[in-house]
Amino acid sequence: MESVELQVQVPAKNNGNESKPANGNGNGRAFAIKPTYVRDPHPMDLPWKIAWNPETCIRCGSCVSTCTFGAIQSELQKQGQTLSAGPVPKPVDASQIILAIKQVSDTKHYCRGCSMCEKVCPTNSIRPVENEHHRFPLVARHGASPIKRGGRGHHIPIRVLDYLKVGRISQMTDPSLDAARHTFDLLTPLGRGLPADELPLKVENGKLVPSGWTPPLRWIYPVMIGDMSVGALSWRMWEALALAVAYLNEEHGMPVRMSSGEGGMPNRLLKSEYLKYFIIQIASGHFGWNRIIKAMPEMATDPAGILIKIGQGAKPGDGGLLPAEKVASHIQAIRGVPKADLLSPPNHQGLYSIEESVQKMFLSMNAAWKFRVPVAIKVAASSTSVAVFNNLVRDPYHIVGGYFLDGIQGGTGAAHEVSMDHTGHPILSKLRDCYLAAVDQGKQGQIPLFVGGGFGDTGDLAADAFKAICLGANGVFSAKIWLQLAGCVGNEKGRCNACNTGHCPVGICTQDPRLVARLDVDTAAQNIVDYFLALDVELKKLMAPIGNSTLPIGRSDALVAMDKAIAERLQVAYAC
Amino acid sequence: MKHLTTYTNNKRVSTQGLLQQIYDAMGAGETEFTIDASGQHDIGGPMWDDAGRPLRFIVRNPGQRVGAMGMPGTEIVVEGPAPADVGWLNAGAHIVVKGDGGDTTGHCAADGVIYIGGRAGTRTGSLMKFDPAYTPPQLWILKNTGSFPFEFMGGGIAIICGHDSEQFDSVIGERACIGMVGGTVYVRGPISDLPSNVKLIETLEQEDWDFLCDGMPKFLNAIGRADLQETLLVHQEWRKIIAKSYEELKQGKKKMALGAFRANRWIQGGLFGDVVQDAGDVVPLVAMGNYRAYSPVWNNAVFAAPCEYACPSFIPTQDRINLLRKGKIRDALELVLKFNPFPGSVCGAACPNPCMTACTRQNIDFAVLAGPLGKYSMDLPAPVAAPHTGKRFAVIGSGVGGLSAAWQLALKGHIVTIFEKGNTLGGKMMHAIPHGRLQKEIVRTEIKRILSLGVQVQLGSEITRDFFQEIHDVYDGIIIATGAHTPRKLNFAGSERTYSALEFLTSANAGNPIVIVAGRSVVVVGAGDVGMDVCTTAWRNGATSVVAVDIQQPASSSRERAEAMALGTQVLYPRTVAKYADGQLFFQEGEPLTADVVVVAIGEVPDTSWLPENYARVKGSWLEADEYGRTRDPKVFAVGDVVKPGLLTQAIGMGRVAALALNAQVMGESFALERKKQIPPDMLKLIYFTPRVRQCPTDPLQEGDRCISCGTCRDCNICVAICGQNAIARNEHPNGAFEFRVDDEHCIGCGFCAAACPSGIWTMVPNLLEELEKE
Repeated sequence: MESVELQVQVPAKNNGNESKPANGNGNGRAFAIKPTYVRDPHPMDLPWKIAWNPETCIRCGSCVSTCTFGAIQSELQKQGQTLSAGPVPKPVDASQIILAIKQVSDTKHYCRGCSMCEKVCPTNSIRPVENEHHRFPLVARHGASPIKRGGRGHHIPIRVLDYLKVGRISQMTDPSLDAARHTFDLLTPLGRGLPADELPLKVENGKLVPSGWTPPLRWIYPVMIGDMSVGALSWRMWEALALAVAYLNEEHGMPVRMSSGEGGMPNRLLKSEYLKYFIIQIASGHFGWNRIIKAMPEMATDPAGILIKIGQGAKPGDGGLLPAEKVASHIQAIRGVPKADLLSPPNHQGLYSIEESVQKMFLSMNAAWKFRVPVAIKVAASSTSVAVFNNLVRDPYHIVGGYFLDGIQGGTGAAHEVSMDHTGHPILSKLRDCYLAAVDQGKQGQIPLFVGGGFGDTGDLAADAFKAICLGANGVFSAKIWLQLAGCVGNEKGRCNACNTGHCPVGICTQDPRLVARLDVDTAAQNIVDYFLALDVELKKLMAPIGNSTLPIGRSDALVAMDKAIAERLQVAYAC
Repeated sequence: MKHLTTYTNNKRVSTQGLLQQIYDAMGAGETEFTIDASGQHDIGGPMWDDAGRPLRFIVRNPGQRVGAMGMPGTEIVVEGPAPADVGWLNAGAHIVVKGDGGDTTGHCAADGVIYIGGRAGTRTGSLMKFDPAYTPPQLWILKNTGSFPFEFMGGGIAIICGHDSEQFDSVIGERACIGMVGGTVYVRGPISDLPSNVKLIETLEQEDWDFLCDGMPKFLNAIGRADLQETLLVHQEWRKIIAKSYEELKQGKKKMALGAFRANRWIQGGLFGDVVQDAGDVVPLVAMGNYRAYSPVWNNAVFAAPCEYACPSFIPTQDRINLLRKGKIRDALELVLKFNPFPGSVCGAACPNPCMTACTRQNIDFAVLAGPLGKYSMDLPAPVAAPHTGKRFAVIGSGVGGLSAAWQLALKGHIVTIFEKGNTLGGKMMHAIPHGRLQKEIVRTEIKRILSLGVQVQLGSEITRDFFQEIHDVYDGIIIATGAHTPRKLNFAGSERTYSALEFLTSANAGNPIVIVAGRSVVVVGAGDVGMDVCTTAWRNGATSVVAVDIQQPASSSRERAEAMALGTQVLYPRTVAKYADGQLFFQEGEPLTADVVVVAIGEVPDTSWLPENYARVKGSWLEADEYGRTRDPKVFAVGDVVKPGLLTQAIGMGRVAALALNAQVMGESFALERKKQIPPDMLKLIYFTPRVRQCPTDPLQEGDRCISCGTCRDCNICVAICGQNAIARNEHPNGAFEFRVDDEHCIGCGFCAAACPSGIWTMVPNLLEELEKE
């Protein structure tokens, strides 16, 4: 007999690198201290630390159950010690085994601070605590992987909108108005406006009648729902937005418009009467356009507009990104792609210059709806924004229906953090430059200016929008705030922002049906509706004091800046 | 009656000057004034007579705010028109303007009566109020008003008679009653659209009509137009505007609620109903059923315990210990016999017990006494065999492999004949293993148990090719277990003067040693288990020194080696033998060793020359067989050292598998060798187990508490206790088997059961999205 063939399988020894129960090494010291190494990850490295109180915890499991990131787990721990009892040294084992809630330390399952654990805990025993000493940027690039996330940019040093106040109040001068009881006209144009002398009109039988094609122009609400794609959002969230928009239009007469984002449109909406409240976006990925084009013969109405997306303020120079985790089967169907990371190119593949974009893209999009639908363009704010705008303003064919500028504080569903935090241009000075450039040419209002990027990020969208309008915007587009109204807990201080992971804890930025089921479409839509109705009153509350019953577009005299440099740059009065 | 003019010396008296004259006259007891004014403001109020006598002012050409803040008891008659703010903040004065009133006539009036004999200007009646401690203010207007009348009106009564207003689209102008929250506006004549905060009552109630019929003659008389009474008092020409109540305003928006909008007017089935299955349930943040992220699965015995995994006979020792823990000692001891007919000889004695080497418990203190436990099964009778099948099987060779196969086949109810070349059963157990390590009596006892199943034995059966063919023809299947008996040799100078381990051990065990070692130095070439047996035997037979050498790190089991080392054996490696000369064994490396006796223990090879050539061989000697022991001849299986050199327990395992496979083949059943994966160690919760034991325990029957029961449910019910949702239940079947079941509709998938399970049974698996999509 030989013994050489014997291969005994023994349990793998704990290598100290993973969270495993201490197996010991067969020397009868199983529960000696588990070795910890410098290289081991630890919650101190992470932006959020879980504070858990074992005294009050009732071990119901809710926190672990609700955490979508796997950031906490249960673990057995030994407590207590061996004591001596009685008048002589006599060991007594007084230790016990308890179940503890422990934070998972790896950078894939790190706590995002979403606080769902805190929210569901019946005894207030657990919560995430911001960790100011974290080393996350250093540990998170493990595996040579750049940091990606969703949300808005961080590290914005000042919020210029807060330095602007509505400082010119009509008291005994202009007609002062009562916001609640007087009537206001909160409408702004989307579409190419022509000066009176260029309008194709003639007199016939003493009446003015059209003598040719007039560029399409829609009067819309000055605050619109910015582009968030089918795919970036869960189907319920997208539907809640769409429902709120339709309801505001139909029942409250508020002509709020919503941009589709670049992920296509649901077929049922394309064929619905409500399509007229929606702006269809085309971006560099051209996702979903097959279905849009095929639906054209069955469209009951025209869309509100078409938006050509060239760039995005959150990640200028970068294309859209939909991580594979979110490319569910219906997204694959609508977009016409397999499950994969879906990247839109940073630019439209067929466009090589501003002139060409006007000629080609504007023409194609105008032609698609037989020149009945306004076509606008969205670019990331940049040092070159005015040059682009000036080029568009020439618009010899009258087919440029709007210029959308997206600033650095805009949000996104997924981007490299380095892009979000370090690329882009603040929006207000570019808005002002563009507006004043048009004024210089006597062409203000001919191509409506819409701005976005962080508007409403403190929750006060009416004030932000009003200030932008006074600086020359025809309106603003805002996106993330509507998600926040639906329950999104993300913010600019590093909370959550896991939109790119597919693990959105509130069912908004995910296609996981288990998570989407958390979102209540009715409540989400109602919150958005309520906010819009309140915002409508608040806008009037800002218009009344300056005596405007129509939108004060470009009425920068209504503003004062509490910072001299800002005042100078934006050409508004400095006040202190 | 005091008459006041407002020009002296062609110079206009200021408002203050005129009012001062009035104050002076009142101080002198005057209560009635006729005033030829020239636009002076604020004539008529607020003034009162200290004796309470009424005050009366007849005014021509007043300025703004005639009768402003007028008091009860004050009567003012304007003979002609009056500019803005007639009766502003009227607090009870009776004011008659025979001509037109200006803008904001009656503005903020809260008491008293204002008659306007013509038209009134813009914002007339705005912010009128009614103090319930007094009478409501009245504002009568013969003709019409300008735009924005009755803005923010809070109370009082306004009457717009609409006389001489046919040229207007609305007798109350545009945008009347904005923000009106109280009061009544009676209107005769067309009116413009009204805001949502008021309602228009088309037909007056009797009470309204009585009020108009009572007030109209007084109004018309006061302004000197009694002639119009019949014209104006036509019931059906009057309507009234009243504010909606607070409650009406709250619910009165009459907008369809969002939920209703979604239900009735939104795209039916939802925007994405054509591409997404969504029942629309809204689940809480802590979800149950299919909406959990994970659900627990009771993976009992899905993974092998390390002992089971390590045992070449696949003995599930954790099951034995679990039975012991429950006091089912007999069941525990019988269980092993299903796998191994030699628990006493092998598990309890000859086997190096890989089960114990692998045992999780040794990470806490000492391995569970799986080996010694085998001895307790030694004396058990054989289990009852299955009913006779009539099938006949031949087993060639009676070593452990053959006996194991015979045992399994007999248990299946087959007729088994063992053909043994020698005259004893048991193979190397009987011949080669030192008695000190394995008492032969145990082997005999256990062989008897095998034979008790009716296994027949033909000793002295030398198998020739012809005889093999004969057997082949007669039996339903053959298991070859002839072992390996030809010592492997090393070719070095002097090797002819060395002994093989097999002949050394066999002869020593037989009491007839092939070489006397007493007082001599012994070198054993090959330090495996057999080499260690040689060492031990050499010591026991009086050797003065024993050295074992090996060309590599020896593969001997720790127990055998420990035994040999304890007797003084030196183990040296690497040592490659160069030659044996002059009582010295020389190596390619290191110093030579003195060696009176050299024993070569590097294994044996089988002799299968009796088998036809068409049975494939490996390396010319070993029979080719697959993991089931199948040779290329479907009728012939081979197990043990004739296939591959190995431990006794390996031969036992091979014998069992081959027997079961052959049985299945002959009986037309299916048999698949499914080896479980070993349980990942991190699934086990050793933290529960306190290392109390500092000395190796001795009673295998008391191992119930120490065994972790890796991968097999310990039935501790910790999971039931930990579950905050009370979602785990233990179900016991009448036959004593039990299972733990999860109530998925209450389980929240927290994983506490998995975290707390000592044996690693509960496993959290992701909930399948497909299940949701199916719903």
